Amino acid sequence: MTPAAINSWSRNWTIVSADLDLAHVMLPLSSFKLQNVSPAGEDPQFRVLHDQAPALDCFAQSVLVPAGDEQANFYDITKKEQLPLYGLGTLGEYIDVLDAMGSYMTKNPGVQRLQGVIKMPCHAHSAKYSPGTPEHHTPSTLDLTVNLYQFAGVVEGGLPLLVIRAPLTSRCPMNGDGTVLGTGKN
Amino acid sequence: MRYAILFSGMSFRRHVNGLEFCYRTLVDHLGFAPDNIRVLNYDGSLHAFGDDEGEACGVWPGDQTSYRMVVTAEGSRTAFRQALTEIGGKLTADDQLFINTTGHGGHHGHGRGPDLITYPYCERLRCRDFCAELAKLPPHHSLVVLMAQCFSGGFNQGVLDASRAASTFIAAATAEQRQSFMSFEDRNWDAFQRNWIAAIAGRDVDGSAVGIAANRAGRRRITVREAFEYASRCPGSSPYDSPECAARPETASELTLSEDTSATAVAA
Repeated sequence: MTPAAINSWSRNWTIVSADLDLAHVMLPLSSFKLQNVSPAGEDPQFRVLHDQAPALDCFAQSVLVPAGDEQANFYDITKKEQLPLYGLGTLGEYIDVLDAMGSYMTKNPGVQRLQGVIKMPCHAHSAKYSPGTPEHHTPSTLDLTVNLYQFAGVVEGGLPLLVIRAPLTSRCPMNGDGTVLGTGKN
Repeated sequence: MRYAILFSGMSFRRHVNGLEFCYRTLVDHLGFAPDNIRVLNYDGSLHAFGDDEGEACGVWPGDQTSYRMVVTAEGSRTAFRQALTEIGGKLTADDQLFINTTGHGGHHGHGRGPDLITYPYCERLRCRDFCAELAKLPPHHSLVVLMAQCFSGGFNQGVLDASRAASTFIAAATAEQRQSFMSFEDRNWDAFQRNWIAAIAGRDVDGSAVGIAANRAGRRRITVREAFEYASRCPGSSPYDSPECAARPETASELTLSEDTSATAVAA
């Protein structure tokens, strides 16, 4: 990544739409900051910083590092020039983009991104258990690889779009498939 | 006649293992004709997503022998439709269809899901499209569906509504908003799918008898509901799964996958 591209990650982001696989750890409308914590001149490493610690901090001490070298074009993937600002009236458009991004990133694993491993609880602590589930079951935590992609200026007002995807990996014990969208904050 | 479709899209090795267990159970213990079984997996072979290029598929971990199922097509949306169309052309009012889906499921939330994740590239077969295909089948005796992917419980009502079978039963590994899991005791399998299939024939992957046999109370075959109860609560069940089932009419819970498809018809 160019220095400019690396700098573009260091900002505040708001999660706006999340597949159910990931929604319990990346809550829609929650915010976080990505910060480059590597010393000047060294390969960049990003950490997720929260203004207010979430109940489930899946990023915890995760280090996100650049990976991939292919460029991806937002229009080619989504057939949309731009996304409106997120709201109830535009939710459907965001889910369409979520859908398109999942397939595209599976097909193109070399797209430029940040990559790291998060701590993923098997379900939300507040989940209701089905009959037969042992009482006092505490969610176990699983290591899950995530990729973060950025599309500059594609959200109304010139804001960047963040795509977080948990690619399929046979090490993962879950049978899901999850993508999350976020937008940059001014 | 009895027909079966075994489907997995973006399969991991454990999902291929589960399809093989289902295939062997249908053929060896329940008397399905191999020609009446369509196996749709990943890229149309025995391979799984994540296998190394050119890597042999190895042996089936159930009994360390070679895989026996013949994969008839890839685990894609098109192949699923074609398999249903082909079988639909043969189904009569006396016939049973069994569908086992495994692999991955997705759910975007806000009414946009659940979906079955298919080959290639995680393309989605939406619940409504899955059900629309079922609705095209001619009237038939019974439909039994076993789903093991994440969010599979979200298919239950849609399948009941779409089915043109006189009796329909669906068992799902997990609720509409929950994920399904592999067995943490043995990572070669998904727990719910393995245990449901083991129960329906009374034999586990290694051929050993499963405990449900003691509860048969004089009947020769395990019902689909009994298999569900066993898979939900047996010692090998996963505490992370949240199984759900549905039947229409209620007596569909008494279906079996044996040649006489009703348990009451074969009661001692």
